[in-house]
Amino acid sequence: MRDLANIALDTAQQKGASYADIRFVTDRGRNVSVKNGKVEDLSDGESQGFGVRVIVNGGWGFSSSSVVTRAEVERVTAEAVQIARASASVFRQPVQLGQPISIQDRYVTPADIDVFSVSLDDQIKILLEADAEMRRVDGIRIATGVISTQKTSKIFASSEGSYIEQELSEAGGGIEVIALNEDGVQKRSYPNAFGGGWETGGFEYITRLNLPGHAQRIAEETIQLLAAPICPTTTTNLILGSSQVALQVHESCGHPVELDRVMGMEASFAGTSFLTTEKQGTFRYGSDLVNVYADATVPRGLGTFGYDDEGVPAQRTALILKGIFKDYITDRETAATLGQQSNGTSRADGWNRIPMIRMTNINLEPGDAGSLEDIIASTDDGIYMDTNKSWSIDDKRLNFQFGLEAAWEIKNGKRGQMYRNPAYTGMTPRFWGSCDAIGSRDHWTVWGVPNCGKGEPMQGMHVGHGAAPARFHNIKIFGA
Amino acid sequence: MSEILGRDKVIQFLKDGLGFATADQTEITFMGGRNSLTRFANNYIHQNVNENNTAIKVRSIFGGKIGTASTNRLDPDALKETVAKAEQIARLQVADPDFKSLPGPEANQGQLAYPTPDEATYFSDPQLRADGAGAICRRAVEAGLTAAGAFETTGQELAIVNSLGIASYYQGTSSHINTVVMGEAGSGWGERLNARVGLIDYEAVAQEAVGKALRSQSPIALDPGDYEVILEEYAVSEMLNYMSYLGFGALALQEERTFMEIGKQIMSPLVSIYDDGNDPAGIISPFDAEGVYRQRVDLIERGVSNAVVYDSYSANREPGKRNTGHSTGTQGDVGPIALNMVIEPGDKTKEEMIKSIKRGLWVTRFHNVNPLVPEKAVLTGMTRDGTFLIENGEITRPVKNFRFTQSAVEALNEVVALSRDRMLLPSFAFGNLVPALHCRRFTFNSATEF
Repeated sequence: MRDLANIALDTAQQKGASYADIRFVTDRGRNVSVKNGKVEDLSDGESQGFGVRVIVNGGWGFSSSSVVTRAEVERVTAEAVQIARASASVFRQPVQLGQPISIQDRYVTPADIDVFSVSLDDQIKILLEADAEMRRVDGIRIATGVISTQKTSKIFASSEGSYIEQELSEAGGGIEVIALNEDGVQKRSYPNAFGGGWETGGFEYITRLNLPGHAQRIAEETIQLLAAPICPTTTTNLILGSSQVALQVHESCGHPVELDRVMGMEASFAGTSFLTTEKQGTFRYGSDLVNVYADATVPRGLGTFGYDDEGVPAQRTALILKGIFKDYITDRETAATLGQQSNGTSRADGWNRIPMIRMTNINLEPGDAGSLEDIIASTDDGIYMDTNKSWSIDDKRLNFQFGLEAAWEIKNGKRGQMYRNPAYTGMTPRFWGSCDAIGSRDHWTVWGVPNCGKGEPMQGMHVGHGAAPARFHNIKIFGA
Repeated sequence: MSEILGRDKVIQFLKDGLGFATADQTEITFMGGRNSLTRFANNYIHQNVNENNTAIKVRSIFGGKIGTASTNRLDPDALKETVAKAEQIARLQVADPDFKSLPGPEANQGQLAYPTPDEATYFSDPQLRADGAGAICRRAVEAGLTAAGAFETTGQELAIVNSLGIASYYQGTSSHINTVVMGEAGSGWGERLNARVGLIDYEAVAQEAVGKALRSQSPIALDPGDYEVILEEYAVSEMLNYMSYLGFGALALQEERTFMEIGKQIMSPLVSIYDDGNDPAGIISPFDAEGVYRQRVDLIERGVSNAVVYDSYSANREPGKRNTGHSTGTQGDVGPIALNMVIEPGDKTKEEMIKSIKRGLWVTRFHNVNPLVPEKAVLTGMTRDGTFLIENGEITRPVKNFRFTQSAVEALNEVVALSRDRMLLPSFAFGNLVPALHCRRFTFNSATEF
């Protein structure tokens, strides 16, 4: 590939590019899903190709192709240059990337069990066992399970002299159960909704999830939800399970700190951010307990890698310290506008997409409140909600509303009545300002979120969020 | 790819693939084409991309055992390997008793007729897209505003063959532009979709978004609550997409998780909705992911829940049901979906609709919509890019944005008027043709700060 990379970089420069990079990417994935005792999907997919990114006359151009030949590399590079010239006809000032970066390296995701070494047959057995456990509970209508495994091979080469190879692997899995009656449909999921749990690494993650071991519990809780009263409307102390804290971090911390959003580059689609640049270093984002880092180096995080797709090394960056907003997540272009160096968060969803600022692992650091049960025990009056069912937040990332699968009343430090269709709503800084308890490190999990969407054409991204159970006071809750 | 391969070449390639197959039934899908997209923000082009891609998907069936494999390598060896891989996977499967058969050629009656693909769209010139983006940016600058948006063109070849004799092929194009134009305190939106890039009137988009942005400055805060509303076409199309995903498919009906109750009046008698992939006013998509010609399906007739869309799998599960050509390529996950929806027009202009309202809201579009109670189509989301107060038959003031939590079905039950003009706007894959709606009541449960 080095020869093809050189052809692209030489061609781009000969045609007038002041900067060029090329990425060769091969994605391979397997998916197994079951539904009500049947194997729903058993599939194997691969996608390979390359993308060439250039700056010509100060404007960006990018083109990509699935045909990896010398002739196609030359043609696509010329196409990228032509596109960049068109960009330059409507631009404000030339793109600046800051200091040149030249790195030669190789990174491989650490894994105990190669994700493709476990037979599909064995994966089917895990899911069918969980499926049978779920459907053993009377009244269950739909039981589903999924295991997904992926590997990505990447080569990045730039006109600044970088040549970086990466071999990334990840695994995800989960189960979900649905029951219904005249009042509606109820569901529970494990370990999380929307695709389950995900980590970088090997198949050991799926083994560790022990999907069959949690099947009966979520099935029984689903049946209990059918008979549970609807969540009351009130303002109270809200305790969130750690997977929901992770999504809360994702929507109301991770997206607002994306510097391209702040600079209006996503305004027409995903939106902008309330976190304008004059707030850096002084804005109170949350209570003193709130410490948030972007950390692409945390072991097994779904947003963990060696280098981003601009060839910038993975980093750990403080975003919020003791409740005060400190820094954004950046790429080379946006960092340069603030006179900074990129903190390495520019990633692309495959060979056919440009890299853009994406969350890595945006982690709410653990506190000292112990376990979920410890937080419940220290709460006189409130509600505990678990596992996301729905999310929505405005285009500046202020007003949010989340629906969850289940809730339990908390009275005098104990779980009481279960509620169905719980939801809560709030405004980002006020909500984080009301955080008065965060679970300890032993109860902290780096949750994988495999469905973060951004950009046009849409790019899905795999990101992570370290989170523990947490408590927030004076929160509006209601039943949907 | 830098060229259109054409029907003969693609179908022959796929039939060669069937020649490698040993399964009881085999289906091979080809998707190829170009996608080009120019993005602008802060009144300049900041992203400008092009993609040339192909993909082959093979579905192999032994009895009720189904395996799927895909690749984007386009050579005979890759095709042979992918067929072998799909068969290897299928043999590992557990038989699905609900799977009866792939569709055969009898599922398709008559000949497909569709327009010649537009080469100007298929191979769009990046300078043409830059000119569109530049025109919008210039208008915004002249008005002291800031524009962001995207101008996209797509050209696609799609072909599906199977061992029972299905051999469907289509070339299509589409072009889409959108922009948000922003001032210090308020924004406006414009958007267009057309099969041909030459018919995208980006000057009109600029005018609409700039005009709305200028009217949106300095919004007032109103209390959340129930309001009479006019939902502009942008908001209506978004709501319709979620209704399709949640409830217009046969699988959702068979699993009793849809708002559709066949034969029951669930919406205003003014509301009729159908799906038609061959409507020339839409983005034509003549057959589904199994190569079956799309049939027109009248989903809602004068407010009555009339029918849902089927694929071969869901039709075979329900005696007496016909495959309507709405497969998404999977058996039982999402199931069949309506992707080319049309809401019949009304007889009002938007001005007449405004005049009939004493106090209400004008909603341009929604943001970050998500189902809260899927089986009742209760959706939540924000208003965005042009929310206004209507008082005594006139738009009087811009309003800070609201969060809505509202059943889409109940909203359509509150419809008292529809506009006679309609817009073609994106569905989850193709296009919806929708009017603006006047609803007596729509619930906003909180507000934001801008």
